[in-house]
Amino acid sequence: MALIISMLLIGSFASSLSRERESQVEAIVRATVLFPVLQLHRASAEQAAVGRRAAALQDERDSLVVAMTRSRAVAEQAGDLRALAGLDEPALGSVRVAEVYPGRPRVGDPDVFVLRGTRLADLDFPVGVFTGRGLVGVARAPHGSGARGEFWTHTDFRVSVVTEDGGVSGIARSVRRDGGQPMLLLEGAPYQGNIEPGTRLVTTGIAGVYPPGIPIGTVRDLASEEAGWMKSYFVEPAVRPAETRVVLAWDRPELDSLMSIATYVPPTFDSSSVEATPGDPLPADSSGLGSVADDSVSVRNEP
Amino acid sequence: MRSRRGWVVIGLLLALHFALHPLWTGWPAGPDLLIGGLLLGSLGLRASRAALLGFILGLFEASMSLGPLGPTMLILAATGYAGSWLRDVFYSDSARFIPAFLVVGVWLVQTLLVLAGGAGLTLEGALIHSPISAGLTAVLCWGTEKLVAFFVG
Repeated sequence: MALIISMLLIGSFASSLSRERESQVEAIVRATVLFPVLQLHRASAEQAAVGRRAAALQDERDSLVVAMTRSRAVAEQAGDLRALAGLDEPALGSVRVAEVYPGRPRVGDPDVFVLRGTRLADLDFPVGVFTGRGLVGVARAPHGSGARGEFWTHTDFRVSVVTEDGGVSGIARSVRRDGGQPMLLLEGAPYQGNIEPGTRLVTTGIAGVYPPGIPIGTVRDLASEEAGWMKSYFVEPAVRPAETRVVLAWDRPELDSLMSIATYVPPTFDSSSVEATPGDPLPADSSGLGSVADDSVSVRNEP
Repeated sequence: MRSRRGWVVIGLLLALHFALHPLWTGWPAGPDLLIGGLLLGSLGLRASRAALLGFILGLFEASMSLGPLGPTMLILAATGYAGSWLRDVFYSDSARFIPAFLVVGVWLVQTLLVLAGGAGLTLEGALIHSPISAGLTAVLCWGTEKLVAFFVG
């Protein structure tokens, strides 16, 4: 009987505990008696996650093979066109592969990250960090043998962008919308111009922090307009920080050689000014890559 | 159930419950081997000890599933006590007694735990998921007993 009464008392006392106190008691039991069981759960969950990750990596590899095959053909065509137009090979630099570790949401800053990879510390900071799908952020400084930087969600992040057709340019930064969900805001777009929803934005490459032509997102809708001056647009980002694991850090070339490449040259072709039949050689300025303004300074688009 | 084999069955059921907890909770109507093991155990214990077993299992279960601590402990203690008491009242040699005892017991205790958790009892949960869960529990308990009988003898 004493045992029953004791259990009733303890049970009643436990029922009167606040949720926080209950959690403390449960945490003690989880850290002691249930610890081996929970370790077992964790191990099996990790094992399952590794299996899923392996399957996802295999899919990723397969799609990369397809993308590489296509891009090789496009690169060959671009090389042919550049040769026809008499342009130098672009000095776009190279990339370094890195694993991204985001800051922890509660105890740290989720808008910053640490990159782990080889030879990252000797990059010429700041440099753009991106994936095949779009811009991820910027690496600001070395961090041990890796680097540390900010996702595009960081309040200090700014990038110069342009619509894919080269019509409208502006500066993109992060904003919080949709219940705190971060997205991009394109500012400084000309008032007279109009960007249709769904238009893709890419980096211009101005200032040499980000390589030109990296997608940053698609325009969703008009955010605001300042009469007679400029418009702002909400932009759906191409890459969400939570989706990124492996990124590419831009190992940009020397600034001198960087100056010789186009910032971003939209693919335009004025067919009205060209009359040709199949088999004809291309006219001197019909490559769609614009004209060479100077021997080595820049290549500008002149639609 | 007081035999060594019976306690091996109960131990195995409880070990399976905690080891495979994430799997059970992922199903809409998974077996509840904790209540099954407790009910089987209560048939072989004195009422106060069965209540103590339920009380301790309630502490573990609430800690594992992060449920309400006090109500879970009290309900499972009452389950152990009631199981032991009912054995004396309804004890039968019929082979159907234990499966029926398990099905009804699991159904009732699950309903009580849902009510105690404050999640709100749904008709679907009470009339479909819980009976399926109770049936699965009885089948798995029976299967475990047969398995143990095969290996332990």
